[in-house]
Amino acid sequence: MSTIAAEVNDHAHDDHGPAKGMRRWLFATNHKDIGTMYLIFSFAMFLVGGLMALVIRSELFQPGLQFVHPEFFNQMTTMHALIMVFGAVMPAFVGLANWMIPMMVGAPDMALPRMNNWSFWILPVAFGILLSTLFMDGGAPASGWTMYPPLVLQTGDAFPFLIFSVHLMGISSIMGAINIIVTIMNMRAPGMSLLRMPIFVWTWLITAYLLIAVMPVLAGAVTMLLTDQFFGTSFFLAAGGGDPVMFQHIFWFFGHPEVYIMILPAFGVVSEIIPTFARKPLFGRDSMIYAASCIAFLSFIVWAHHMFTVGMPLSGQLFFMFATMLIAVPTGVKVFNWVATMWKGAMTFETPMLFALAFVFLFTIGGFSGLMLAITPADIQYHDSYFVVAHFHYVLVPGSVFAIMAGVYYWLPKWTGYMYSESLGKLHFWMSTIFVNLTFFPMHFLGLAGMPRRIPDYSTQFADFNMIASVGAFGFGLSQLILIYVLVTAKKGVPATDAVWDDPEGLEWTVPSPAPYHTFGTPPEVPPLKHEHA
Amino acid sequence: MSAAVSDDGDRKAGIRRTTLILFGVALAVYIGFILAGVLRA
Repeated sequence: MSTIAAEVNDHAHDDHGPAKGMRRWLFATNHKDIGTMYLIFSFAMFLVGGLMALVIRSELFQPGLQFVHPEFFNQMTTMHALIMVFGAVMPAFVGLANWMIPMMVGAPDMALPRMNNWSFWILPVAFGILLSTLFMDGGAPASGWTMYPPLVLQTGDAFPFLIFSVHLMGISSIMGAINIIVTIMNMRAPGMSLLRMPIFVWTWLITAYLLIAVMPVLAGAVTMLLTDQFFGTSFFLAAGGGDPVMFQHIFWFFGHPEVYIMILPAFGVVSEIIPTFARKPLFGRDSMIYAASCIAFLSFIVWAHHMFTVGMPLSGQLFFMFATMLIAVPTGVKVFNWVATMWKGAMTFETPMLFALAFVFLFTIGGFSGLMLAITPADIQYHDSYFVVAHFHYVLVPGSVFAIMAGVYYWLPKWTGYMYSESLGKLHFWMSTIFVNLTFFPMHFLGLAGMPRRIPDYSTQFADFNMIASVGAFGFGLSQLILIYVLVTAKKGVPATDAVWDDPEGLEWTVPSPAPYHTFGTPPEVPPLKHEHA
Repeated sequence: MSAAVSDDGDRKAGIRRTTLILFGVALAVYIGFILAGVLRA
């Protein structure tokens, strides 16, 4: 009993449960409490960002200017993106990581619990600052989430607050990522070798390395914006000898791996769920790990496909085009393995499985439109059109967001100790799936027909598809009320068993439901993987 | 950094070492990109 795990257990005997009242949350060091806070915060941000999306879709319901000024429309598109990327999707995955990684690797908690507290509590401050810019002179940032100079330098009073909040988000992400890597590398139970780790843990390990590599790049870029604005430098100002295109290169060197930061943990969640409900071990388990690593590596060498229209040598265009297309290979390996896992499986279709299946289908649609965008001459036509909007929303909404929802339904009984309402879960799934397609599929046609993105008004030829997309967006928003009801009533269902599902794989299913406040006071025995057993 | 490290001291040292390395890498990337910007400007 000389391990840290044992030490934590000894502390647990000193105080048997969580602190009372607000102290439990303000000074939280327990990974489950912090995971819960991350998930609640990200859901709140999902609703705030969603409301902004509804402002956008209301304005675009029909041609002409109806509800908001164009300036405010631009603020909404910018804030919607920043909030959804940094406030909703990323913290949701960190919340899942906090809850599940220590339990999956047999650790008593995260390796650095106090830093864990910091990395969470920085976030509400960062987004409080960002949201406060809505009430400042000149309004909120309106230059798009990409913050391209020189446009972003025309932001009013909000500019330094934007930069400061982005720095805070970056610090939070880096601290969270360090905590996850340190936990995985140092806190695994004896017998939990790297290749035995659950795929969700693996995808998060790779994601955490990506975060550490690229969040400082974003921080560096916005620091240079700050000094350009206030300290007389000319990193990106052409008038002073700087290069605005350089910002785009630096931003997308961060921005493309960022896409994989938002999708690799989703791959992990889906890779946990499909084997459980197909009642088969994950097909090609090791190749899943290699494919995720390969995707992570490739994500660093494709950034300029976001910038084909700014001009670059032919050799550059060819390199970035082919490198981007190469990502389809490891991604294809993953999709093949998910399908092969289901092949001849004894499948059932509970809510987590439905969301995971929808993920496989709909994320693949986003992947294919990504391949279309990778083709340089085609991209020059699609660039800045609604086709791009359709593409990345397919990757992020029925991709990342559906995977988060799948994960929440999958692990909710383990968190609460009760089964959620399966009928409401399925209703939530079907409503979300129908409306998400109604919202985003017509955007492909709008983009191909030439409708530009980030505009509050448009030609009447685009009216019908925009109307359908707006109806879909409101439907999708209303569907989330079902999720709120499911979560609020989560503790009113039938008590869950320890395993919850039919023979799932992983240490988290060996602890009681709900998971005790302190788990694995002594390191657990790691069972062999199912395919090893077979 | 084996998973099966059972000695508390070793594990704490491992946690400290990994944390410092990762912080160092993040800081180096941050400063490195700004320095690259300075050199290019």
